[in-house]
Amino acid sequence: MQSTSKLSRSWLSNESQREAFTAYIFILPTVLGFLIFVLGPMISTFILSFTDYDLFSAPTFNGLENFERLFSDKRLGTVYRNTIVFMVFAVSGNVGGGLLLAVFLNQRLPNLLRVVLRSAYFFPSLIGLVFVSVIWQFLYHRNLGIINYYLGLIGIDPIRWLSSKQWVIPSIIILDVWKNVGFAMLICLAGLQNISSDYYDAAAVDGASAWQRFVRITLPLLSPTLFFVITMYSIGALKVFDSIVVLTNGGPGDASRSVVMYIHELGFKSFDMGYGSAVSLTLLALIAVFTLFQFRLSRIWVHYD
Amino acid sequence: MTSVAGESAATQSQSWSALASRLTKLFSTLVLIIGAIAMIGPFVWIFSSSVRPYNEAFILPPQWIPDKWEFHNYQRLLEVNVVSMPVMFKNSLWIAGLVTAGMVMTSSLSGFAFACLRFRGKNIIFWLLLSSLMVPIQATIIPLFLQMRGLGLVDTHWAITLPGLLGAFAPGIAGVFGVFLMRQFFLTLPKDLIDAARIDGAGYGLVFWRIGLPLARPTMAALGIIVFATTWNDYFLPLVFFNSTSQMTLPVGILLLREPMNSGNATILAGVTLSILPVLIVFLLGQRWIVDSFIRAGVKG
Amino acid sequence: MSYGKSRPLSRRDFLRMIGATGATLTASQMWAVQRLLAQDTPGSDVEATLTTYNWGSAGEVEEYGNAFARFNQSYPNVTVVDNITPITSWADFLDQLVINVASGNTPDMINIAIEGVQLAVSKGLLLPLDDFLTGDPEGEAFLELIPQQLLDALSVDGTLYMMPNGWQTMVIHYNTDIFSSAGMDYPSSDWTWDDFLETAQALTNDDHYGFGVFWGNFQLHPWWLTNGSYAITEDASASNLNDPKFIEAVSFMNDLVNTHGVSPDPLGMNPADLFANGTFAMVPAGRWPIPGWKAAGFTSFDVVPWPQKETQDTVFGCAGWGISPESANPDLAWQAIKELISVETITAVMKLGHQIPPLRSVAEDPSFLEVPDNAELFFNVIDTTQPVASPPYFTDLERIQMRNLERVIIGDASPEEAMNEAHEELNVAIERFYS
Repeated sequence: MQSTSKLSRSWLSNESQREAFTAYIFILPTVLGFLIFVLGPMISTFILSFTDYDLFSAPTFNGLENFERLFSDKRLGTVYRNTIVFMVFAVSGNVGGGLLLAVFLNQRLPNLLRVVLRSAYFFPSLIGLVFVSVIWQFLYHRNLGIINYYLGLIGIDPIRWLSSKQWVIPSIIILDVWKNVGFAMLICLAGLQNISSDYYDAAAVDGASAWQRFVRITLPLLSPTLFFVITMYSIGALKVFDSIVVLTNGGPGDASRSVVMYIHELGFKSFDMGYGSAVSLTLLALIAVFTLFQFRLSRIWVHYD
Repeated sequence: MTSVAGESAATQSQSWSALASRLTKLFSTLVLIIGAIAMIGPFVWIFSSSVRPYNEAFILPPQWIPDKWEFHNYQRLLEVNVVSMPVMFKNSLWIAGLVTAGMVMTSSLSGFAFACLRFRGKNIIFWLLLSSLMVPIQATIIPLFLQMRGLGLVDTHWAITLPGLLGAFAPGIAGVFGVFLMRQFFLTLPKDLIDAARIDGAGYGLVFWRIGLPLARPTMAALGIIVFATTWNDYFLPLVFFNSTSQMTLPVGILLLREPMNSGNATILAGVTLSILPVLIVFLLGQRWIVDSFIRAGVKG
Repeated sequence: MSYGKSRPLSRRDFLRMIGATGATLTASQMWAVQRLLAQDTPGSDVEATLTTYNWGSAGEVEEYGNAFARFNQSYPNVTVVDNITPITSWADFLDQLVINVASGNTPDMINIAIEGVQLAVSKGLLLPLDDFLTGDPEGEAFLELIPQQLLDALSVDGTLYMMPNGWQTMVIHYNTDIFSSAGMDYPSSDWTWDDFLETAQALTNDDHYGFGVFWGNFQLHPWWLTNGSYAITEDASASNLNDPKFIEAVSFMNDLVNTHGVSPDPLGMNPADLFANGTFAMVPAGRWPIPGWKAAGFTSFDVVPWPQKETQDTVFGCAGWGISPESANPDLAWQAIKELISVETITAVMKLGHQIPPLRSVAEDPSFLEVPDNAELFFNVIDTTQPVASPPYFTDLERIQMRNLERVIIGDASPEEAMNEAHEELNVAIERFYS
């Protein structure tokens, strides 16, 4: 007992060792959590993807069978196409819309108007996607929804928002942008407020138009913020799940099924956990490749001071 | 003569462009106000539909202000359904609270260590942790479920709160997000401050407790709000891990109100309204603070 | 009369009887005897906990609670934990059960519908009930009162796995006010698809739709059944989704929405919810929505059998109680189940208005016949019904069939294309299921 305490005291007597010891204690929970709940499952996903496992009988090794199945699985192509289309348009809508809103709200405005508008656009970001999706499911209804009702007043025939192949993904994108544009706006707004007004004063002296000021000053100086928002929203979009489950449950057919929905179905409905893990691996790979690609691309267009 | 004419033309064009820009501004303000109404409209719709009589909930043309107020849907929600709102509310609060507490604590500790302390392997460990930003829980959910099953935690709140308490992840947020956010803050602390405390003989733990934590409060609050909000709203993890209605949180339980063989769709209007109401109240009370928190977390993180 | 109240004939008594008569026993009888020796009718002082996997409306859950309270009069030291899982679809409900069992949360008593019986048996989630029924005259007497169709649907290879507690069917509900004000005769019980379409067209106008297609596996079944088709082959070994008659039924249903416009878009809509406010002249349903309509003050409706094409037919589904092989107290569970299917419980549940009772005597109760006028139809259709297709691979069948039917209704594929593809897909799934 005494010898250990002596040992630890002597070990800790060194200043830098003491510092390191504290640091290890401090990061211990996080590292433990990471090893158990992040790294562990990641490795297991990899291992499981070489097995056939139905949750009841023990997993059996089946070599590359799951990976071969990836290539012949028509549904996999559909869910990836849906997810990527959703990502491209939802991210464009959220970031583009958020930027426009931010630029507008950054102008000289009556304070009350600014706060009210900012709150109105931001509020949906706070509400759970499940809750707002329930609301929108009613709004979108072809015959009984108010969206088609108001469109009818201006002479547009009822649109099958959730029950046609053409409209179902746009509907999910509209809901997503409605819900998430406010957060993008907020971050862009914060980015804009960090841009020194000196730049704009100088540009005004040069007689630059509003458009020129936006392209030459605002965009470059805001590019780190935009990069961050785009990356964050893209990874978020690849995980899309809640809104689709509520609005269409992946339907009609597979027209709105996302990759994560497919993984969930394979794992917890078909109990095809081996193949489900193989599909999960493809998602992990896609996110990794996509993120690296964005970082590469960012060297071209993102300007850090 | 010429110079005067030129001058007046210049003033004229200036006033024209001023008028044009003012008009643009007016027009865009108008568009934005209409947009803002569209943002709020769905919430108004569900509220007014939920307080209309049961069989008029989906009436067209929509009545934004109900002719007749009736709380039948709310009554039914409390009486008819096996899904208990108070229980779900309590579950949501407990899980979100525990996960928030865990994430804020572990993130602050690790953030401080990564920002202010020197130790071997610091960079490697940090980058390894950062890589988890690219690993959404959704992609490892199958082994995660098997793991929780192995631990006997399926259908218990621990399946979500345990990873949260260890700072591995909150639903929808990688744990390292918090670490990164807190590290960014602690990096802004002047080194002298820590050194001065060290000379006074305080250990690193004490420095963290006496100096780091008090200064970090606003950032911790920002992290806390984000973690709380996403955990409260999360659907995926409770869907996978909870089977019993007694365990369910609001987003999962609310959808059960759509059960085709039991209650009408109109009950769910009341359920969703009641789930949104607390958030609305909190937002109206602390609008500025919440917006600031989101900006702080969004920009730094 | 109640099955659980009096002390049941104990198995020990049964053994004594065998011993007294000096009967010689066959091997299988020996096995039964050993089982009886090992697990006798529990004494009333036994301490245990029983858990359920259950579903139902709040009122039904309350009645189950009352049944358990009666059970506790005989077994005061047994705690019953009644776990309610709401149903969004039977496939999801069954998946949830499978996950529970796989996660080690195996319930003692399981309440599922026939959709899941074969699936549950194939995964070893249910005990055969023969052993419990042997020598339990109360249980056997109960079964004699149950229509054979229901018992067959709850059996696998001739062995009963569940005790029925309530069932459902599909009929057409029509709004009598809408018919009267349009000056139309009420539908007759031998009407045909053509009559039905004519009626629906005549009643479709700006104020209401003639009909509301109810989007669900169970709810759509009568279309192909009345056309003499079924989703799977008779021995359940393969898909029958590409049967021309099946496709014809799908086309007819699709045309109601997309050609004739007599029904709104069925996706994401529950027509039963909107029947009470006059959105529909006719909706298809069983008995389950009636309490909701009555609660909304709507009683001006009546019921008529499904319109026929090839045959008069409709679908039925039946729920029942079974026992898990992993239960530590199967005999106690059996005693509790007898309380859950007692006349008292079944009558109380029937009075709540959702379920059709499995006992004809209960279906003759005045409260069953009160609303609508023709309410006796609910029980009487039993002779012209078929069970909902419930193979062991039911969850695959439901998902594949519904996903492809959706493609039809949105015009993404013709009925032929979609059903042929569904047929292929289902056969692959069946093969994987049995591999």
